[in-house]
Amino acid sequence: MMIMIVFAVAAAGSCAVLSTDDFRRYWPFWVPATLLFAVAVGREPSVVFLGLFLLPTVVMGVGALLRRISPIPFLLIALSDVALGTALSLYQSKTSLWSLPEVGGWGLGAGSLVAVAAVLRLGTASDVVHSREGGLLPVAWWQGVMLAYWAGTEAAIVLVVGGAALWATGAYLARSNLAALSLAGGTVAVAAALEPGLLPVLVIGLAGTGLALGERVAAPWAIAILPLSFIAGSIELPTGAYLALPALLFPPAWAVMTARVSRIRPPQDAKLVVGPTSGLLVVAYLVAIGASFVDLDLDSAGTQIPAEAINAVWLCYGLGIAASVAYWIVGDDVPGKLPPERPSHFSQFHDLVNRLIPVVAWGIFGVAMIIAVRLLLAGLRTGFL
Amino acid sequence: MLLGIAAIASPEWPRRAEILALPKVSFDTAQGRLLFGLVPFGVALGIPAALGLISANVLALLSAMIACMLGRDFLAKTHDEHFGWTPAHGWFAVLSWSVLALPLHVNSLDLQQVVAAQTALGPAPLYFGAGPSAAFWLAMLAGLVAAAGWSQDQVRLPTITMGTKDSAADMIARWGESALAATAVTSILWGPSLGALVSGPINERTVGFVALSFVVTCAAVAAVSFARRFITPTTQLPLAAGAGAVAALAMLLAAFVQ
Repeated sequence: MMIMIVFAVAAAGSCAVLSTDDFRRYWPFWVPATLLFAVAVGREPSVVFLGLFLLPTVVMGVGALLRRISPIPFLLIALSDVALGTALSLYQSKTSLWSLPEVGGWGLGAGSLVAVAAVLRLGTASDVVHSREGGLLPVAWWQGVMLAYWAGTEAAIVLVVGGAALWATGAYLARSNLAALSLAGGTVAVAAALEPGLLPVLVIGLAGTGLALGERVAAPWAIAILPLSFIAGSIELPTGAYLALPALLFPPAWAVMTARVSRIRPPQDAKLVVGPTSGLLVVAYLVAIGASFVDLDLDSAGTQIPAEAINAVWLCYGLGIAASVAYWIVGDDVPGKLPPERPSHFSQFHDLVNRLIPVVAWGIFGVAMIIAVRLLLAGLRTGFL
Repeated sequence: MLLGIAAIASPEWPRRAEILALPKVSFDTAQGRLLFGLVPFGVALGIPAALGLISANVLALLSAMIACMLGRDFLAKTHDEHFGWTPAHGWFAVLSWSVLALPLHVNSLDLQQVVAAQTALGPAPLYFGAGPSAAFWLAMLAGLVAAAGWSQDQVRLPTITMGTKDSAADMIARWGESALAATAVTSILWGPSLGALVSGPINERTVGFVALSFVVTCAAVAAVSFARRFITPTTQLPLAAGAGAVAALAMLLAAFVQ
């Protein structure tokens, strides 16, 4: 909740306005950010969904009502919202993360509706992107922007300091677990070799600590997806033998590290604090980096949406469809409500996550409200609405 | 389409109805479901990346495979039957060496740049000239063997509620993983892949190359899925050792022979 408050403050003071080149360069961050966002949606769908998906549409609706913009884009995007909402309902009821019994059991239908929503949005984009509404379109068209809009420079500084503190704490608490420390050190070394920035190094180190301390979801996801940020353009590639030797050594080292990861046995102390917090920081890191994609300079309407962004959107929707199909095949049918808690290795975490996620979701909702008001004011000020 | 080809050629295909009819697997914790999510994530990310359809580099492609392995490993660990190291980790190294041959040859880890360079030169094993072509043929051979081994020797997803070794989740995940591995090898080493139509100029030469590559990719996916039958505890060690030696040699050849 503290992080959310910090982000909300940052939203009021530092709205990152960057170029589409940044968007093109760093688009892979959107994919994990959206996936992790989907997790939050799964647990508190109403507040997050309303906050992040529907509010931008409502802002556009105001413009349509005042006859400042054509109603067609608004109607298409609203229709897309309905499709997305229904799809999420179906998907979550199928996976039991979110139960709506009256519409349950249609995993494939959920995937289809997500695809419909994607088509509507992409179709709308081609009509609107060249018009004067283009400046706001990415916000309504790609709601992931909303997550990152409020994370400015101040938030990144907070993340660095918080990450460093948490990493040091985790390393101290896990000092008896040599495997954990070797993992953290190894991943940090790899990250440092590939990406000169301090923040990825800290966060990947944090992922290692999170693993050591028992956070079994955020840490492997972070290890799996953070290499997406290692853009080739940021790496000064040596040639010949200087590249061949690392290429020969790196895959086995990565395989060994991966095998080592799954052997770590978490200590019992402090994992309830460090594990979920490391997950939250990883999410926040991705969101903070995602802020660099945002171009909300409403005066420069007509901004082209880069092809990579469209690819990223399709990738996310594809992931949703893939997950829907997978759960349709392997998941349990849920009789209308969440299954009763069962003893498991993760029961303590499960309880804590259940308590934590509503707080996070409401925090996101509050930030979304701030953004919606700012968008509305900016739209009115610039003549967009 | 690639997943379908992998499914039809797989050893599980004749028993698909029987396996699908079994009780569904339940990863009945929130963390279990999310960990399983790593597998479809890896497949859905890795195949477009390998085809050059999205901006990604080789590390992203390899991390997609890592995602599949991590998801399986952590879920398997819930039974405490698994001790970390599996044959799939060894196959992963062999597979990576094969995939890295072309990026090393053109000195770029960016997959779209690799695809563009490959498109300019033509399908690698056919047009690159004698020395590099030999390297790419070797890398493809080793890579396809490693793809079959990697997808077959992955840790089985735990069947918490069933008490049997067969599960639809494991079967379908394995189809996706074999499609991912075979596509990665073929798309990068043979190429040019579909990404050439997205990122480069479209002309008759490019379309012809891509059409040829498409057929080769489909055939490779089928071959890899079919070849999983031959990855057994008896054959895996000699196959992995041989493929590893060939892949390392091919990678070094590709890097140094211009």
